[in-house]
Amino acid sequence: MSKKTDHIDWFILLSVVGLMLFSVAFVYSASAAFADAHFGSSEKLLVNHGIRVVFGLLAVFVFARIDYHVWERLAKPAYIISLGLLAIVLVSGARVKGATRWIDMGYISFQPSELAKFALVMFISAMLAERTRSIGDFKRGVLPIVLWALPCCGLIALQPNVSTAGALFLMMFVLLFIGNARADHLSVMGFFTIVVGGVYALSAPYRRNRILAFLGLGDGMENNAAEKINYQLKQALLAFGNGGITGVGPGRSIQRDFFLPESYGDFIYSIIGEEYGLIGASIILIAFGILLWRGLAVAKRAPDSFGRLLAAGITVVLVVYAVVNAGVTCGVLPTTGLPMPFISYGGTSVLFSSAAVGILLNISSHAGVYPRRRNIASTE
Amino acid sequence: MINDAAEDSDIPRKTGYEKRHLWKMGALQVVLLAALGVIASRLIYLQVLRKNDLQQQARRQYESRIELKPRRGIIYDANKTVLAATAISYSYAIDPKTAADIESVAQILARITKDSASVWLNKIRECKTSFLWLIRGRQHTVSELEDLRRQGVIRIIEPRRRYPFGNAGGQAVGMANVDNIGVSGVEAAEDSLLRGKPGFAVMLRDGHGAVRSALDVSNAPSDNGANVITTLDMRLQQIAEYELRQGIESAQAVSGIVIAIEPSSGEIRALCSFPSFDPGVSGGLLADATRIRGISDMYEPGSTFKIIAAAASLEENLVKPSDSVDGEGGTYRVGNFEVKDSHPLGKITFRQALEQSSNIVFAKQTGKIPDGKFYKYARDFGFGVASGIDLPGEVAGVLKKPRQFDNTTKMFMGYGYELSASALQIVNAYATVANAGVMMKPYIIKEVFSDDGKVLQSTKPQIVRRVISDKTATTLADMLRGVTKRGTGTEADVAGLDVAGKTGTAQQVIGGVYSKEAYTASFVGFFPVSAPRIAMIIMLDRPKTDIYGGKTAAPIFRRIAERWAGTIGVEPAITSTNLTKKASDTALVPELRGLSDKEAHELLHRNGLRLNSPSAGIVVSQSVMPGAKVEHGREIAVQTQPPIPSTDGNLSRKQEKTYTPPDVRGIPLRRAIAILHNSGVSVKVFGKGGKVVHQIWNNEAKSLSCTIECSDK
Repeated sequence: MSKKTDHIDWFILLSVVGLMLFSVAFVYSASAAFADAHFGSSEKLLVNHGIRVVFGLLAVFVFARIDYHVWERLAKPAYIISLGLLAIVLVSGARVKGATRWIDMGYISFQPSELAKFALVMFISAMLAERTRSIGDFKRGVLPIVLWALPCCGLIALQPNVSTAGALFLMMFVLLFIGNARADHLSVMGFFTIVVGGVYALSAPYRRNRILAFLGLGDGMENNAAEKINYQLKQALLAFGNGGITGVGPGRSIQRDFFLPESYGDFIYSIIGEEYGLIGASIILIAFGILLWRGLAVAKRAPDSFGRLLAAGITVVLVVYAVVNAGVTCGVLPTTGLPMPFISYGGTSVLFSSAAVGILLNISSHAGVYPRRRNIASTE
Repeated sequence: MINDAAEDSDIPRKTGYEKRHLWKMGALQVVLLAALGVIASRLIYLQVLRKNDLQQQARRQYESRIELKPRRGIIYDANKTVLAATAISYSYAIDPKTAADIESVAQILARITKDSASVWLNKIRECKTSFLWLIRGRQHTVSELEDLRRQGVIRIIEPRRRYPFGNAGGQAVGMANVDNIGVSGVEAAEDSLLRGKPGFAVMLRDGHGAVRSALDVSNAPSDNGANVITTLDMRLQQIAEYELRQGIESAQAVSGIVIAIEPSSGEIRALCSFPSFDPGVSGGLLADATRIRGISDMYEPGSTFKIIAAAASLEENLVKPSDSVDGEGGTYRVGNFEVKDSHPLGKITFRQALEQSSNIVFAKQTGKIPDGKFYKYARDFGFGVASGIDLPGEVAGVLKKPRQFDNTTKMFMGYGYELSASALQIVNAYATVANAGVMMKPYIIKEVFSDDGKVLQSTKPQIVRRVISDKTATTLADMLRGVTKRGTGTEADVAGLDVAGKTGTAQQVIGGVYSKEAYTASFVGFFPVSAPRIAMIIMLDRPKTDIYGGKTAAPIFRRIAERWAGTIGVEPAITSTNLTKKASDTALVPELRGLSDKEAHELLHRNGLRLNSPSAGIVVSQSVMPGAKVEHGREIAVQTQPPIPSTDGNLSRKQEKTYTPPDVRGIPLRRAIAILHNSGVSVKVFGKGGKVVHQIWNNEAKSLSCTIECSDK
């Protein structure tokens, strides 16, 4: 432990840095065949991802040095900016596989929902920190927060990217719960959310199909829709099974050779399971487990409500994404489009997740997670 | 709810979260840890419990086990000329499930096959399996399909059997089918060794259907088949094949056989029958063409069998060649039966009886030989028992046992009836005489050696038995020499080659009675008589132009022997009678092509040379090139082209069949025009110069015309 990391939670730092470094190998394994076929170079995606990881690591250290209280003031403008970007993306964004999620900015393409995700966490945390006393009141405490969160979730849902929207809305509930919103308010809102969300989920054929296919009820669908949806999942399961306990070895995945579509993106976890086996896949889960444990520990010890809510929010967002992504790839959840943080190929996700971890680390340096050193006060 | 109580005590009271709300954090942690736990247990389920099942499913889609076909061994002749070899061929198939662009595949196939694009499209669409042959057995890769190999088109390299000599030796060499299984001839006889052992390779397939080799999975390489060296001499085989065909055509026979055997070893040098077939061309094969008639068909031998009675009589001292016998004036009556000679003979010597092939003398002679003895000699000469030649399909023939004899059996057998034998059995009996009375086992497979050169099997000449004494054999050979010198077989003799042999003309049984039209004409003999190198039988089935072996089979024997003599190192000796005295001088060979046979004869005569022309007509080729210096008195053989009477160049159907258009390349222009003109071919000439360098035949159905180009080069 060097002197520089004295004040931050090195468990979080090490697990996240570990995930990011290994992700380079994972992305290479999972993308080589695709990159070779599409770009004529098997290293194409590896290089892209490598650059992003370098920027991600920079972001971790830069954001770890910025006092997190800054975000309490910047949360609202950041959130409003991200709403604007979400609006722009709907109007002029690049369409990828039937959904409009990116803003093409020449060299890089930018996914505003990734920014919105953390901006929303910050903004809700800031609003809840303001309302520690009025949170019991529905109109003054809970309702404004919900009303602020709705446009963000709505714009993302319109892309359409319902899984992200749903994840963020769930996020809001978690923060309200930690922020001491009343249980009756939460249950009533939760009930409405489930009803509205359920109707919405079933309103678009592709979403309905995904769910029906997941439940094994896809026999009567048109154009073998169920078969196509289940194909990807089946290939992912084969990848896990093929990996066994110890895996087939780095770079030797067979499923990534065009059997498993998008093996380097949302389904990268199954390639990890194939190449590194149960052991490798479990280590990823353990890394997120550590992030959960330490992140919530930081939240518990955070010096103020904003820090507590923000730490918990960031932790929950990252862990929920990881859980949902892994759950989808191994077939316990219906197919959604959530990436595995730090690991899936995708520049915006890596950068914003890294920045968020940087913020979490900064909070940890204020939280005295290593009380034995007893020098927290002197550094403040 | 809170499971980490130790941590609680660490929380600084001043800044910490109010204690009464701490359970919420704990609850959150528990829920998310539980979610991670669900995934972990799911992973254990997938990667431990269902591992085998899923691995198997995955393997089914990415692994394809490909059989590695061994290369079938090569079949050589005695001079290591390749008779059958396996070459690579390319086949293409498609996996309709992974194929990306079926339309363009169909378009390409429409261009290279007979079927239209829509036919192919339907074929591919209706295919239920993941494998459909597109085209098979191409000598080269198809570049358009190569480009589509990433998109579901599969290339398969397969071995394909090739037979460079085609029809020549086709039956003896035999054929192997597409599945690498020998079905006839040597291909079948040595199939197990030629075939080799198949191996397998495990190939990996990707989701697009492209196949690549796996690096670390177990592969078993195939063992290439062993190679076979046969005793055949392809030069002789080709000559025999050609001359047999010519002979059959001119005699208008139904079929024919030539077998040549080396008497001292039993090695088969040539084995052919007509109709023949090309093993390299698949489909439409008839047993008529594929079977080796020489070993699978039985005939009543007729007069060639007289050698048995002669050998038995001589060996048993019952007769001497000079002894007087009675030809009975051409008709000899025994009970209800009448034995006839086609050319009536009176009092003659036993030697003359064989030379003139007297049925009566031999019918009577057998009466002097005890049944058991006669049977023993016939049996010892190889009749009634398979020779054991290493080819499939040999028949044993039929030889009656003494207890089956009635009072005329032996008499008819004396001149070759009441038994049946294969051509091989007959020629081997003569080879026995040629080999000083010792019978060798005939064989065609000399050696089998593995792909890495190890000899697996080697056949040494094998003595079957001594049949007659050296002395009897010599006497018999001398008598047989008389047959070609003075007797029925003169047409088989080659000046200086000393052919010994016997003619045979056997009536065939058609519908239970001996026919007056269907005959088996044969000539069997060996040469040179002093140290025989070859024993050979020519057998014609139902010749039409002439029924006699001496007139139809013997000339074929002569032509083959003549042409062989050079290749086997037995030059026809030049006797003093046809040699001009200026033997030490040399003569310049003139250009003969374009001259008529008479002009050529005169020209050669003036130059102190002799002409050997088989027929009248225009000389189209000569055995010695112009300008060569040769011994004085040497015979120059020429081939002629009969002038075609019709002047407009039209050919009748019948002529077309036997007509080979003259090749005039390399011949001085003026003569070339003469040759072509005399052959009824209209000529167009272009280019400048004195010599023809190119000749192009114009492909027209009825008239013959060609364009020749000349140059001075």
